[in-house]
Amino acid sequence: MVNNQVVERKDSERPNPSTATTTQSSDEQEVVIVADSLSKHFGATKALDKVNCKIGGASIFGLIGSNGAGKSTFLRLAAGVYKPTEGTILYRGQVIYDNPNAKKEIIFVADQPYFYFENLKKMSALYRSLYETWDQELYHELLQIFPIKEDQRLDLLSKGLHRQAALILAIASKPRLLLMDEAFDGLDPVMRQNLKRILARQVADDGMTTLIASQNLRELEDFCDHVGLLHDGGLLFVEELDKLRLGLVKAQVAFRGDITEKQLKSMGLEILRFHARGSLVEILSRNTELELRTILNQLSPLLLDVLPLTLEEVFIYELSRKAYIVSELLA
Amino acid sequence: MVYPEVNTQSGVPIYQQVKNSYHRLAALGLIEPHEQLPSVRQLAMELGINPNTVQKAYRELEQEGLIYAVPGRGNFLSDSQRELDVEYEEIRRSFRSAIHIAWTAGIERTKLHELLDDCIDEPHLSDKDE
Repeated sequence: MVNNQVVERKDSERPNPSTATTTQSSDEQEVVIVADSLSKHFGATKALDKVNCKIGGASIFGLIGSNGAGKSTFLRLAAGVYKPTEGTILYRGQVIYDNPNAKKEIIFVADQPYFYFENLKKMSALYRSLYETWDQELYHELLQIFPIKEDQRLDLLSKGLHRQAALILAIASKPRLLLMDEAFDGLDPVMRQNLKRILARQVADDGMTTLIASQNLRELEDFCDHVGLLHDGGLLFVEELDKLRLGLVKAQVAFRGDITEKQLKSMGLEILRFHARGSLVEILSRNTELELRTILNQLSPLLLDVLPLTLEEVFIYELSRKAYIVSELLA
Repeated sequence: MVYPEVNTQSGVPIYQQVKNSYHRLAALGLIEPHEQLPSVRQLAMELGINPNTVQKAYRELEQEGLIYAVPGRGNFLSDSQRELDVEYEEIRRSFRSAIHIAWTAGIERTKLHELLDDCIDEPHLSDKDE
């Protein structure tokens, strides 16, 4: 790794090198957020409608959805900014809205944050007084990573830098639950990598749970362990990221003669997409890689390459089964 | 300490890449038996990946017998030789399909050997991202 701004810290102070392992395995059972039939209506608009989900401790959870899907509404309900119209959302078993005990452990980074004071120096003093978990050393480390000076006027910053200033404050407060609206969007690759390293450390050390909302699946797919897809106020599915790709395989094959889709299906391939260009055939099928190879090898293909599957493809097929239009999410 | 290689753009699940990379590092002798691996925290931070993903890779590597965990101390490379039958079969299959192409094109045996050597010497011998 080229950029090493995120230095290993305090390793000597750690009581036990396997802290991450132990915290995590015990946290895995623990559920941090439970939404039960959660709805939020604004007049006649149902921003969120009967959403059920559970988010486990130490998870990095990605919430995907287009504009108006209900992502920000969900985050605001989880932050206790909004009160549910119907249903409940609980943080470690407690109601969040109007509950200072829950809210002191939760920090929400809005996509358009608002600051009470004009610079980070004053804002950090405020956060230090509000959050007993505030980490001054971490705060200075973050100032090195993001291109914002402590005494710079926040109201003159661009929208992207505004969000980064809010991220600095949020992360240095060391919340147990961090909610971020579009936090990764618009970061350059170096900052992105550094942010991921810092978040990774906090997940490993403190078992912090992270909820990131984004319009763009690609912003999240290399960092989340679970993803939920919101559409039109409803949660379409929640799944472990690695499981989404299981049982779905894409391959490029070439045969000596012509092979039809029908023929392959009769041999046991559950083909979802069959695309032939000359003698080269691309197949997407609901099989394991081993099944696919075993079946195709019976035909002695000239070429058989199993190709990596993008999450977009996975989403398209998951959703096409539910007949939703997703092109807008994948733009 | 040797770190595995991960390419977040490749489309191959990251836990799978971590696992493959350790298998390769072990096979190449770049990690010695009983050598300690980076902790979950170190690896996640170094690569900027999700600690849960690293955890998952380590758990599966332990089940496969490539590594063993010592509570409170960390993860170490096993010294038992892993059964490579699955890999051999996989390699055989790939060779067969290459040979098939060669025959069709009338490429001779010696040229095939040459090509194989070339491939082995290529600098980027990575998973399926070519």
